[in-house]
Amino acid sequence: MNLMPSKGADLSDLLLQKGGAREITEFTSAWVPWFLQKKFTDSNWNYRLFEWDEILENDFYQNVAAVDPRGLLHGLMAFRLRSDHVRVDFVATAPFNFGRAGARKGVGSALLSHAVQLSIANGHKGKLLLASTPESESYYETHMFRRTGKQDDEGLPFFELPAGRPAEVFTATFPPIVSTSK
Amino acid sequence: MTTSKRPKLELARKREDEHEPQAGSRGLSVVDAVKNYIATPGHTLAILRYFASETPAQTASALGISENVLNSYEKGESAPTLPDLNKFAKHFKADFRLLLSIFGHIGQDASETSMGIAAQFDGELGHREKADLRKLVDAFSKRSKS
Repeated sequence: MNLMPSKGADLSDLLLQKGGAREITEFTSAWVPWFLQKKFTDSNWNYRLFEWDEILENDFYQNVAAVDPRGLLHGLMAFRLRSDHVRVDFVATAPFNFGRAGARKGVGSALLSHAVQLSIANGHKGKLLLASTPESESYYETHMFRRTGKQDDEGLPFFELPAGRPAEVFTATFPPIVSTSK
Repeated sequence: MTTSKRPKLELARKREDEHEPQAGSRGLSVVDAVKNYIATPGHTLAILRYFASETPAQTASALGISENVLNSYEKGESAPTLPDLNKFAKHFKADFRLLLSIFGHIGQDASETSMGIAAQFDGELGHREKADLRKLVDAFSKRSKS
């Protein structure tokens, strides 16, 4: 087991695929140890670890996983296609991509861009809805998402990416991961 | 004015560049992550050792404990003593409070101040801790008497 990702690579070699048993194994054997060692040794590191094993097994969500050619899991997103938008229930880059020393930058943004494209493909003109973690609020505010004024059951504020021009600008700024395996 | 603002703007941009968006939940605490995904809290010590790129012999030597003891801690066969846990924290530059939490020495919601002596434990009680402990015992004795 190699938990050390290569540094400096861009996102062009990443593949999008449906997350399943293999991604759950990657999550528990690579993401969790990374999360723990960083949490223990860097008090300023504010990554949020979601229970991806349960999320990926839950048929309530659709999901995509971003993996590199070595099979290393770089990002995950769980979402639902709703009547007029795509609801991004969870999105996260791998712990080793998060923060100043992250190996690959922009995986989370690329996954959101994929969600925008799904929204466009389903006739919703790119509209997204998600509940932001506290540290990510400034990210969404600076990338044309807007607060809906509502909160989820954990008190996280909902943000929406409006349909049309904002969604187009977002995908132009953060090109989605285009390669799809399986 | 422009020159004084520029560093702040650059810093803000840098932070933005470094940031990866997350959404969906407040996430798991370290204690819950260990409970959910790690067979025993002792494995966390092995994880810290792995990321420090040390062999068991190197870590045991640095901590002044035997490899057998280290092995026993990492496998969860025995719980680290507080002095040894403190050595782990110092050696790996790891958060001692979190180590105390995962090994069940303090409550998950304890703050730096509410943990008192346990948070400052350094293998042996210092003069201040001994004085604090004495005060605590005295206070308890007075209450018991009244």
